[in-house]
This record gives sequence, C-alpha cells and structure tokens, in this order.
Amino acid sequence: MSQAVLGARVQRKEDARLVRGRGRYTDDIRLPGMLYAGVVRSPYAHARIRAIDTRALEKLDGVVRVYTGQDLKGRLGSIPTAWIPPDSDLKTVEHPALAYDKVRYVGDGVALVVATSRGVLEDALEAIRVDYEPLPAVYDQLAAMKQGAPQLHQDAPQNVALHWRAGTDTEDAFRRADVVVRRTFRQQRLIPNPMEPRCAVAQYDEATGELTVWATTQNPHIHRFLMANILGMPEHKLRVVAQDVGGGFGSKIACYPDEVLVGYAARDLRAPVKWTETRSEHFLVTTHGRDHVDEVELAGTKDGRILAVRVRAYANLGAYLSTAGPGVPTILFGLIVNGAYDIEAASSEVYGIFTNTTPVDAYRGAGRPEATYLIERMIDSYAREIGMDPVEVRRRNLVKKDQFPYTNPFGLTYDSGDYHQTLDLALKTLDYDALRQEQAALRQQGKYLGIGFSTYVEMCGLGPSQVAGAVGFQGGLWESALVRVHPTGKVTVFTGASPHGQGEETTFAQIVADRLGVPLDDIEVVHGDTDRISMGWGTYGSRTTAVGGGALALAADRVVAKAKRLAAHMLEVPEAAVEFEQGRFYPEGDRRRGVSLQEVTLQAYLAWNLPSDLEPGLEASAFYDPTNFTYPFGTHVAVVSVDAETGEVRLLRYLAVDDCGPVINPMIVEGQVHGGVVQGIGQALFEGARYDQDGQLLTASFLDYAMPKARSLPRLETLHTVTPSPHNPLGVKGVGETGTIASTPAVVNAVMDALSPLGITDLPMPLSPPVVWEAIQAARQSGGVS
Amino acid sequence: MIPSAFRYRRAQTVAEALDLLRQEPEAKLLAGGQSLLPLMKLRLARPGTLVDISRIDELRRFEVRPDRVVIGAMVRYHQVLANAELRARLPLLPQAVAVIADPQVRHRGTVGGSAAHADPASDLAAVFLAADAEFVLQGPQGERRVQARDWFLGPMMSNLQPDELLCRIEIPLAWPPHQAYLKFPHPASGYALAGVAALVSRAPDGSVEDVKVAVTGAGQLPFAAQGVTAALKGQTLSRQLMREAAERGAADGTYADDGPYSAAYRQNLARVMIERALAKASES
Amino acid sequence: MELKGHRVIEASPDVCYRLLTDPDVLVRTMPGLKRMTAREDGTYEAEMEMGVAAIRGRYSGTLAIQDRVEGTSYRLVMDGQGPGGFVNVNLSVRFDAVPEGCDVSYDGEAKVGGTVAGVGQRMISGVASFIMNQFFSNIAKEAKQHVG
Repeated sequence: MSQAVLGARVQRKEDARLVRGRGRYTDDIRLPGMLYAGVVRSPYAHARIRAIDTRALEKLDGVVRVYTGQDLKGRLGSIPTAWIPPDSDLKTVEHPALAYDKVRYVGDGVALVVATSRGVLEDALEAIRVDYEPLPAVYDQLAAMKQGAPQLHQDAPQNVALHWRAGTDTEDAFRRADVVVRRTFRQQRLIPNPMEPRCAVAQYDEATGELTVWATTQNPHIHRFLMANILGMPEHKLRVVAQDVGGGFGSKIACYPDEVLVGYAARDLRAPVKWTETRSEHFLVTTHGRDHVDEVELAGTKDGRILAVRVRAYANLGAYLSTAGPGVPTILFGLIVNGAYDIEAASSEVYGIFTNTTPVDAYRGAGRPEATYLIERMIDSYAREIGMDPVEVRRRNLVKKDQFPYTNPFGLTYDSGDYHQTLDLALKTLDYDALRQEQAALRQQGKYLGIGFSTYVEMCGLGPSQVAGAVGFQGGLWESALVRVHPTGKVTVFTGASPHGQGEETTFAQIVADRLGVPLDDIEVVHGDTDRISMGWGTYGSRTTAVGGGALALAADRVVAKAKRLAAHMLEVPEAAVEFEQGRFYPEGDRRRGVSLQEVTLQAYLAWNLPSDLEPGLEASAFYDPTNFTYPFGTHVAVVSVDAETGEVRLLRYLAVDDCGPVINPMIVEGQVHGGVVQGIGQALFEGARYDQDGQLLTASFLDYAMPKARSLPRLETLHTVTPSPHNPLGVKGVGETGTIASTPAVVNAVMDALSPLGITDLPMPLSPPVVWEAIQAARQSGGVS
Repeated sequence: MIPSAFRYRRAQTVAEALDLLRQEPEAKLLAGGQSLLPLMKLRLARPGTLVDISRIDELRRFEVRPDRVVIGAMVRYHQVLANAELRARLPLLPQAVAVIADPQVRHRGTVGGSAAHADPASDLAAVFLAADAEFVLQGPQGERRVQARDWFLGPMMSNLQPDELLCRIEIPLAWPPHQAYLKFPHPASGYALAGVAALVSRAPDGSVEDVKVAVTGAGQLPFAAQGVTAALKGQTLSRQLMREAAERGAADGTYADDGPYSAAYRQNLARVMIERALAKASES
Repeated sequence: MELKGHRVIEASPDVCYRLLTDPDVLVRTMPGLKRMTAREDGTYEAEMEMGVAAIRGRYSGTLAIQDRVEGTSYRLVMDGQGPGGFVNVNLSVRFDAVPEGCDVSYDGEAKVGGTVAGVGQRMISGVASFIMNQFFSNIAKEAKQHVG
C-alpha cells in the first residue's frame, strides 16, 4: 500500500465538494440577525478629510450604525506590519483601520457602515458625503523619493520606509571584469485577483466574551495574534476560522483593516456582522504585488564567467506597511539575486518607498520572482554582449552538483541539486539545435521566433524559526501537526498550515496513509481553525508540504511508535521484535500472526489491558522546525513568435523541468506548476496595474486589467528530476511558486531573443502588443534593420 | 454590487412597452441584460424603471427570407449561431457572434440589445455597417427606419431615442459568399481592439465587383472603411493591392489614445486586420 | 485626462464670450448640466448628470469662471462630487476672431476619480469628446439665433 499511495496520482479529496458547489466559503455563512458592513472609501489618492456628513442616513431605514475614523481613534490599535528587517531603519508608521485625518490611497477607508441588508448598505455608503481637501499625490517610487515630492507620513522623510543592504564587496570583481553589463528593469505592479475576493464574518458571544471571526485568510493563527492586539482582547477569547478559501496567492496573508473592523462592530453591536469585498474593492484595497525599479550590474569575463552581480532596488511599498510588506523586497529578494549561479561576489541594496498606492505585499513567489527576473535577464544580456549562446553561459556558471551544500554570497546554504541535469533534459526534450536552425530559417523569411531560458533556484519552505528571528519576521516558522487515531481506526489530522487551494487535504492524507498504512478515505485533514488547532503559521512561501508535511510525518511516526508498544504487549513479544508494515504489526519474521493498527487502536482506547507505563488513547502531535529552507530549482523554456504587424507575442511551446524533490502527488504538482507558470506568463505578457498622475488606478477592473487566458496559452509541458532535500523528513521541496518564479524571465528572454535581429535589448513588462509593436517601429526607423 | 432601487415592469406587447417608456420615470428597456445589468450593479446606470421586453413575441421573430434576414430585437446570440440557413447565406454574422464574450453571455445576450447599447467595440457593429443593416424602430409617432451608417452616433449612443423601441434588424441577403469577420481582442476585456467585417464579390473574370468593409473597436466609433471599396472596385486582387486598400480603409477611422493603445497603434491594427480580413474573405 | 479642442462658431468673439459665460445658456447647452445657482462670491452651485445614454454619474459641486478677460479668454473651474466619485475640470477657454466668426478653443484637464475612473477607462475619453462636441454644436445653434 505504501508504494501505491505516496507518489500516486490521487484525485484531490477536496474537489468532490469544491467542483460541485458544495464548498463552504466565508460568504456562505448566514447567521440569525446578521448585519452587513461596508466601508466608505476615498476616491482620492491623497487628501485631508475635512468633514464627514452622515445626515442623509437618517432618511434610510435599516442603517444600524456608522463609525468614522474619529469614532474609532484610540479604540483600535494601528494595523501593524509583522516583518521588521534588521538594520533597515524601518519606519513603522501608523496605519489606522479607518483614516481619521488623511487618506493616502484610493480605497483608504474613512467610515464603516453597518446595515440590515446589503441593499440598504450600498445605498448608505453612497449617501455619506465626505468633504476632502485634495493633496498632491505620488504613485511612482522614484518620484516619491525626490525633493519636494508629496509626503505621505510625517515620520518617513522623502517617503523612504526602509533602506537595507546585504552581500559582499563587489568592487574588486568589477575592476577585474572584461565586461560590465548595466540594465535598469521595471517589474510592474500586479493585482493578485484570486477567484474568491476577501470576506469576514464576526460573531460575539456575550455570555463567554468570545469573539469568532470567520475570514478568508492564509494564516488564521497569525490573524488571531495580530487582531487580539489591535482589538485589545485576550487571545484565548478570539477564534479565527478559515473555511474553504478560494485562493490567495499571498494577498490573504495580510491582516487588513476590514476584518478588524468587522470584529470590532460585532463586539460593539452585540450582533453578527458580515463584510464581503466586491471585485471592484479587491482591485483597490487588497494588497498588490511586485512594483520594483531595479538597477543591476553584472561583471564578467569575455569567456562567459560571471564575477559579480550588484543590485539596487527601489520597491514601492504602497501607502502603508502591509503585514509581510517590508520582508518581501529585502529578505525574500535581496539574499538570492545571484540565482542558481556560482558567483563569488554579490550585493543588494534596497529602498522601500511609500507612495499613494495600494499597499504592496507578497504575491506568488514574493521577492524571488523579482530576484530571478533580474539575474535571468542579466544572463541573457551578458550572453548577447559577449556573443555566446545563453545556454552556454548558464552551463558555465550554474552551481555544480558537487558543490552542494552551496553557500551563496549572502550566506544562504542551497541544500541540494543537480542544476545541469534539468538543463540537459530541457535541451534534449526541445531538440534545441533543431530549434535554433528553425529560428535561423524563419529569420531569413523575416519572421521572428524566440527561445528563452530560465534556470532558476528559489528559497522556500519557510523556514527555520531561528532564521525567521534573524531576518526580522515577527513570528516563528515551524509548523504543528496532530494525528488522532479514533477508536475505530479512522484518523483525523490537524495541521497548523492553512491550505486554500493547494490540495493538502489530499497530499497530507497521502503522507499519513503511507505512514500509518490506513486507507486514504479513512483520513480527514482539518485546518484553518484556531480552536481546533493549537498553533500554526499558515500557508505561504511554499512551506506547507515541506514544513507542515514534515510535522505530520513526525506526528504519524510517534503514533506508530506508541501503537508498536501496545502491539508488542498484545503479541507478547519484545517491542524490538515487532515489525510494522502496511498497517499491521507482526512478530519479527512471522507473517502468520499479527494485529492491525485498527485492533491496536481499539485496545488503546478500551485500556483494559495496557502495559503498566502506557497511557490510554492514540494520538500524537509534533512541532517541527526545519533546519533550513528548501531550494527547488529547474529549467524553464519558452518558445515564442512575434507578429511584427500587430506586436502580438504568441507562445508556441512552454517546457518546465522542475526538481522539487520526491513528488507526493504528480497531479497536484503538475497543477501547481501549470498555475504558477501561467501567473508568471501573466506578468510577462498581460498584467500590469497603471495609475494616472493623481494616483487613480486606471486598471481597476477586468475590462482593463488583463489576466492570462486559456486562449493565449500553449499546452504546457512538464518534466521532473528528483533530488531530495536533506532538510526535512520527506525530502520534499516546495513547488507552489516555482512556476511563477521561472516563467516570467523565460518568456521575456524568448521575446528579446525573437527581436534581437532588430537590436532590441529590453522592453518594459507586460510585453503587450502595443509595447512590442512600437519598439519594432522605432527599431526599424532608427536602424533600418528588418 | 447591488443596483440602486428600481421598478420592474414586464411588457407583453410593443405598444405596452412604448406606453411604459413614456409613463415610467427614467425608464429603460431590459433585453438580455448582459450590458445593462453589470452597469446597474456598478451603479453607473440607475434607471427608475426596467421595462422587460423579453416576453414580447413580436421581438422574437427570426426569419431568413429570400431577400433578407429579419432578426427580432430579442433574438439571442446562440440562436444566430444555431441557424444553419444563416450560416450558409450570411456567414459573416455567425462568425462575429461566435467571438462575442463567452457561452453564458451568448445564451442571454441579444442582437437587439447589442445594437441599442451601441458599444463602440461591439463585434456586431462591424457586421451591421458592412452588410447595410437596417434598424426598424417603433415610437410614439409610429415606425422609423434607420440605416446602419446613421446608427452609431457616439460611444454608447445609438440613434434610438429614449421613447423608442428597437423592434428588429433587417439585413439584406444580397451578399456574395466571400465573407469574413476577424477580431483582435483586447487582452483584458475581450472586446474588439479591432474587429473587421469584410464582404467581397467577384466578377466572373476574378476582378472585384464590389467590396464592403467595416471596422469596430479600433476607432472612436465603428466605421465603414470606404477607402477599401474605392481602392479595390474593379481591380484584380493582389497582396500589394489589399495592403494599399487596407491602408486607405484604416484612414477612414478617427482614432484616439487610450492608455497603452495609442492612436497610431489602433490605426495600424485596423489596417492589419482589414488586410487579413480581406485575404480571408477572398479565400473563402 | 487632457481636454483639448476647438470649434469655429459663426458669431463674433464678443457674442461667443457672452454665450459661454451666461448661466442660462450653459444650462441649456451643456449636456447634463442641470442647474447653476449663483452664489455671493461669484461662483455657482452646480448640479450635473454627466454621461451618455443610460450611463450617468450624478455630481454636485461648484462651477467658477475665473481670470475673465472680456471677449478674449477665461478659465473654467468645476468641482463635482457624487456617489460614485468625483470630477474636477480645469479648462482655459480662448476666443479668437477668425474670418468665419470666432475660434473657440479650450485646453486643460479633467480629473475623474471613483468608479468611473476605475472601470470606465475604455470609454472615458471618447465620451468626453462626444460631450464636448455636443456642447459646441448646441452653442453653435445658440449663436445662430443670436446672429440670425
């Protein structure tokens, strides 16, 4: 059985309910007497609030209560950030749940309205008149740092929220270099858009003083921890529950004002209160991702050896510091800008900047896509500069198999890998030489075909708690698991991770089924409830299987260990002489006699005849803290054609060769790779938030914000190599973000390769038809090449 | 996402609908609701009364006659797609309908609703203009007929007056078999960044007897690319000639910058798509 | 959003200037402008319903005609707030004599915030130029009455 279940293409257990509309999302909750809350939001990016006139509400039936920022000032704590990178001079500015003096981005909340129905609520939100005094606004991080730029916060001169550096000295390497390549890249702002917008329902029990908040969160325990502080209530009286959550991509990590306000209102009004985000609100107020301007320099020899890389990044953090906001462009970005390459010297310097825009936080990959984009684009730029095939440059610089564990210039220790193997497999699968010949032939006909590579590595499986502390994350990064075998042999598994679409109800059941030898259907995975799970740190940073799964494996092993002692007692043999296989305990070498785990469990609960030192019952918990991050890696290749007349980029092929260690469920891994790759393609070709000079978000709906669509995608090809990580009991590495991390530069490299006959070296993302077309027009006019 | 309060009235006849339009304050007709209802949910539209015309039999007429197709205002897109005779006689129309939005929208949305809404990037606008559609309206003064070239007055502004009802659209079936609708969708909305309807008729010697091309999405308003007709009529088609014709046809539009899509890009796209639609139509 | 354009009106600059500063004429000619009520400081309280067909935003606020140079130029400043957001217009308007009458030109910008800015990008400039066109056509008709 163990052979069958681990590594098997098991259908997702959760899909039975999800695909039939039987999922239970937060917005599905209906409670007797439930009220509806909504937020009056600023249409200005920067303005002083002169007055709020709520008189019109008196004419509306069903308005229960209005709270303004002034009403709540002093009653609610500031919304905090939970990541304070060391030595970064981080300005932890106040973030009130409702603005009381100034609004700082379009969408900033100024009042909360509670009503008896959503219809009344929306009428009421419109009826409130806010008198604003508009102030000059700034949406661009470089403009925000300039002298005389509008100031968002008194305590952050020139809008600098943080300044952080890491790495080694690079001067010497740059002096020795034959070639120095310099580029400035803009990595545009992205809007996560999970299928389910955010939602929160809160209910206060006057008798017990307990507040329950159901919320769309990736990490209910972190929410409880932060919200207890903001609301000023004891942590054990606050319960946070994440039921089914329809995707997050990082946007449901943060603790937002809205969920806190709902909790406050429910307690204050002694009535259940619901708030549901509209898609329009989602565009404006749920955290955005990326938004970097990066100055990068690469020093190399003319025969393709990279000597040093240095990066100066300007990260737009938005109007306030989001929960993980400061950690994303520093720790998760600046420590891995050398990528998968053995580069002696590297440094990063990061400015985090406040602007009149939606706060920026983690978005699938969080920092690592930004770092990977830089190094992968630089590799291709360098290759072009020295006239070498970009594959050859990669081959010469990738960390070699015998160098692991490899310590990079920032002190990270890459666990294990065979980077060249994924590259070789990709080249063979593609028939690379033939593809280059085809490209040359098409160029003769004036057609543009491009091939782009990304040989990435990333750090995930966040991560040892000691490191979390060292890098300023205000929490631990271990994970908890409890495996409970019920008297009949059925199993409930409790995990502190909080999967919300990644399929761990299935993969975790597979891990436990493998360890305990019980059928998959007998295992239920419970997650996302602070009352049912003692503690946990949630799901993000591709940590759930590596860390949460690790905890689970340990807990399951502890269950088996205890059962084994009882089995020995039942079989009347010494414990050392008991073997456990596929759910049955046997005396060593004797397969005729034996007891099943189920029989042992029943005896453990009956406790009629236990060894004198054995407690009744059968369950075990584990609090597992990994020894290091995990470092999945691989080679992604995009093949594109460019329609020079329209500027349209067509993806002809996309190949992903990934190594995430042993695969627990190939179908789920493929699904993660597919989704991730498509999100990265989205950044390369389609997505991008645009603001106008006054800080109005111009891409505030799907009419203007382009998500990748099935019609724009080829059939994705996925392959795997397997290099276990020595850092966790299962040897697994995260795979939730690799696709996003790898695909953006692969696609952009492919387009630049296609356009190289025109002398085009770089274009700003997204490489939309007009961007590409205008570049081709300009190149033809200036160079006359075609 | 909740509309502001409105009254709902269902009309059983055209006359009743016209009465309601006149009597009810700020009344608006509801056909398939695929454009109006989202606007109401965003509260960009706040009609006082919705007059539901979906049950009026007369508006559901759909006939392919020898000389023309008559499409009642309530005929839904999927009905157009399912009509085999129309596919044979005016393939341009189902080709355009097939690329409108998604199956859900195509099962609710109506041809008449699209015409009345007059979205400047609507796929059908190009078909109406290229195939000389005629809009038949009923109002307090009786029937009024409007030619396609007089229909699109502004973005979301058709010739339909607030007290009038669009009853049906008639399209002559005098067209040759060489027809094509080609669309370059906006990457976000899926609306046409440039949608081109082309009709080409050939003389026995292979030369172009007549050609009609119209463009939607690219310009500020949908337009008939008459420059194409001028360039190609009586000529023998060649790649070079089609290119020149497309250039002249695209010049008939008025273009404006729109975020990342500059006026120059839009005009270029109109040119490219005209050329491709001509090639596709003439090969069909 | 930039607002820029011009229109030749068959009337003298003086007549055009008078028409385009007369609240009654403006309410008649400006599509969607419902009401202008003079205030003591020389500005107006204004009620607007701007848009096309069924898509309309209701705004109330102030309208001011500043920097008046009789018969030559002025600046139009309009601030409106409504349930779905705001619209602020700042236009400089010039009146130049030409053989046919008067070339009225305007140059400035409109700031739009809220739902319209967020979801209306595809249409917003087309609608603005449509409204301006309509406005000038109406003005041209008014001017004809004055001349004729």
